[in-house]
Amino acid sequence: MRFLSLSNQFRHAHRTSYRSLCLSLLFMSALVSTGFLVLCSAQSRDGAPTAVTALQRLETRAYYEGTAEFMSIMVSSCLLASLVLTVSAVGFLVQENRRQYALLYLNGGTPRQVRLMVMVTLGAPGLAAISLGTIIGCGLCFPLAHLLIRIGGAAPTFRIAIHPQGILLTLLFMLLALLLGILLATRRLTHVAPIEAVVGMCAPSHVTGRARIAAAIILGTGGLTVGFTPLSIQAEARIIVQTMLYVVATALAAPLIMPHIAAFVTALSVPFNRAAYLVARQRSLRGGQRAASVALPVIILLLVVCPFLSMMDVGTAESVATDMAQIPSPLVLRSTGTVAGNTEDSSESHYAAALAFARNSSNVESAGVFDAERYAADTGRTVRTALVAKCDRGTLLTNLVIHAVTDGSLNDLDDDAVAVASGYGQVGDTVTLRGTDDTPHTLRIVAVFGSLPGLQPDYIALTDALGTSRGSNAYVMGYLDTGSPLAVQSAWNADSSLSWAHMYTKQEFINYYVAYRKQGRTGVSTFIAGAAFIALIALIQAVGTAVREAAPGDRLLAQICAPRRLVTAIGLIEYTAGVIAAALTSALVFTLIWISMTLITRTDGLSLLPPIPARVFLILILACVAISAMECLAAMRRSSSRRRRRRTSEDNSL
Amino acid sequence: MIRDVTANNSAELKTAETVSSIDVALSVHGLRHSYGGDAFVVDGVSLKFPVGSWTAVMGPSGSGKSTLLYCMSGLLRPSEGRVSCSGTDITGLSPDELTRFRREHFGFVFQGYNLLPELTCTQNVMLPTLFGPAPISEAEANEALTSVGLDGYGDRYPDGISGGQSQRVAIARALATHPDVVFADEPTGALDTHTTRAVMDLFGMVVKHGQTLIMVTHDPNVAACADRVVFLVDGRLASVHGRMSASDIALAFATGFASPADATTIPDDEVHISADSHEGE
Repeated sequence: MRFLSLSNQFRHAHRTSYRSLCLSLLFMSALVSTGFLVLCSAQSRDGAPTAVTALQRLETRAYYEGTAEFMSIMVSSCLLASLVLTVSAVGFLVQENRRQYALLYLNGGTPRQVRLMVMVTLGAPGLAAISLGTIIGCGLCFPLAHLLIRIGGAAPTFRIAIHPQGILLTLLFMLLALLLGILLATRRLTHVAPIEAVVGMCAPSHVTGRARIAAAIILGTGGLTVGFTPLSIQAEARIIVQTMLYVVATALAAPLIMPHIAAFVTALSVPFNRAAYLVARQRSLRGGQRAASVALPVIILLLVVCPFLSMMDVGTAESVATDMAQIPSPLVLRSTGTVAGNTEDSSESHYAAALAFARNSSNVESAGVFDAERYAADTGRTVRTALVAKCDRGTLLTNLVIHAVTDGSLNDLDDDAVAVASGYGQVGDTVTLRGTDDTPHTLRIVAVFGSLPGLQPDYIALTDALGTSRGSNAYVMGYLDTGSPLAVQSAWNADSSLSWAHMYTKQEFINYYVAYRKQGRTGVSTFIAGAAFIALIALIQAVGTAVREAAPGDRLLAQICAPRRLVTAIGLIEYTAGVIAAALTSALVFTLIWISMTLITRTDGLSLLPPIPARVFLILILACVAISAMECLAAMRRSSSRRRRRRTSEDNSL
Repeated sequence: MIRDVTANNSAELKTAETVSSIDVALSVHGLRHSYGGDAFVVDGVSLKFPVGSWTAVMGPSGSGKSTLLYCMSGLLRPSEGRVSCSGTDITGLSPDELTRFRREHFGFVFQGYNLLPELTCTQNVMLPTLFGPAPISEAEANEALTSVGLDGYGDRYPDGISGGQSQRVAIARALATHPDVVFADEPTGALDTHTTRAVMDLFGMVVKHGQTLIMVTHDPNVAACADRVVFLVDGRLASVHGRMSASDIALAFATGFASPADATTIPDDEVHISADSHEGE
């Protein structure tokens, strides 16, 4: 076992590679621990989900449970991305040092001894990076939660708590991912022959290739089945499962298909430099693993971000369309929030102004105006998020009751009573409501009814009793029943005294809301950004590793015939071609996902087409190309300066 | 020429089968190797290497010298034939067994030195023994370095020393395990004449200590230091000679490996091996 004492020196000699692996592990652990802790907090009594703002909760049916499920899906996606990237990052490192391992075999190390050495060499810094990342993740949770609350991404009552199970799950998951990466990488080492240290030959792996293709075809077919066959599974779940299957299938097939696509892409460089094209093309074809290592992070990045963005927009449109369908009015009123001064006073004057407008307008048949805010209701079992609508009694009785109340009456509603949605409680029960200032208010249920237009599904309608505990953000909404919606809308929007609210047609409101929702999905965006960040780190690591691997070939080229600029151009072409090849593959896979998404939403009765996040796609591709080019140049510069230092020391010794 | 080669080859085979009066360090029988396809890079080579002998394997480029060396040393598994050392047929060993056998019985010196750049010279020398049950101490590794003229170089890294010094470290590493057979593939290919001479002196010491040295080389001056010169053409044995002068070897090359007048094909038991033969190398 004394050979293990050399592992420190291996780490030191390849510190650049180990540093980038440790950074990847650190960031991934931080993201995973943040995800687990936020999820644990969201599922416990201490917190509420962070995915939507209070306003979004009011305007659509953002269920507490539904959001927690969505958060679980996002965390699962992050876990999958972390797993794939950890395994590939360890694989890159081992692949990079393949000749060193062949030398160890040549010097009498058995495969088992070499595997043990790899485990010890990788295990110690990996463990340290994972532990540190978990601690950083715990620390990051608090400012993140604070930020989310401040910008409206989370409820004011949301509290992060450090749950030990979150930390344990992170450590367990990341250690398992690292162990899996080491086992898979060292399994590949058994194919290394000692003679590779002498003649640099590489054992062919036809069996692995066939197995990979077979597994990729099976998973791809699974993705097609899930996406295109009518199934009773929930639409979002189908799309996510389909996306994940495609990601894994593409990752498996990458070493075999990417070199050919990358070689095809390099043809674009023919007009600039034929020699660079020839070398870069051959390198892409011969170095399948290298092309795949560059392409894989890009594929994961694009296939995590783009389908999720489309799906979120579909979900938003579906959600708001369902809600809007329940409003018995072609017009929707929404406050613009531009009114200065005291909000409470403004609200009261707004009701009056809105109702006055309705009374004076010959086109308006009936009107309802209300403001609303989110409260947490303590039912003794769990904290459930409730939508609280505050209406003046007249509006409540004349509008809401007429349109909404089906199994209860609000006639008995007094200052200390509440009416609740069915399933929330029974008449006579008491519920405790906590306002944004966390002050508890115990109220008695006096009426239970099924639904209230625009406010689905769990809500409590109450009187002015809690008015004093409302926060400053009182959003006024309303609707008007009219036979001439366009005339009423233009009359309202033209009246400057009514500028505190904007009037939409129902379709306009849906469009507005989809656009609004895009700006407001802070919580989910945070996780997507985290996953994207990790993928970019992995891309940097992959390009750096590939450049180091190609360094001997570059030196040879420089010695034989190629000027420095040509060698640099070859590197740039090779790695950017890998990124573009990954983008083409991702676009193809995304097309399949998009078509299935369209079919699935049609089956659900929605006629909308899922949006294509083309701008995001292009921005991500450009970012990946720029990052890979910059890392390629930086790694080449580092490599040549190290070579110069070595040469100088050799000259000195001579 | 080809007829001569065939005749020599079968004569050598006969010799290999019948001679048992001397201690044999390594023997190969009917060795053939192909990298795929019908062409054999090594084609039916049978040889015996007596203990304490120094054999130079020569031949034109592409004659299969290095492949033969790799097959004999267990770095390549031959397509056909047997390689025996210390009574063990190494072609039948599992990868783990072969690694252990190689570690205990063989030492390697290559043209590219094959030192691990991450390790110091001392650690490179210690490395093969670290994988085994009885690792040598740093002092012993430094002693090995001193014996090859690298006193005080123990803490240096391979990228901080010259090519000749690197080759000496590789020799010290090859000798650290006291192997039965040392394989050297073009050991002087990257060295100047002065350093080549020094390396040959070291090899002389190796053989003097009773170890068997099998060396592939292109250089007649280097091959002239060996007890025996084996010529290989197109993967087959062309001829086997006793000690030859550099000019005879050059002549053999010039005449297409026909036996020069003053050198005859000799069987293994007639290879003269004595400590004196390497005095002053």
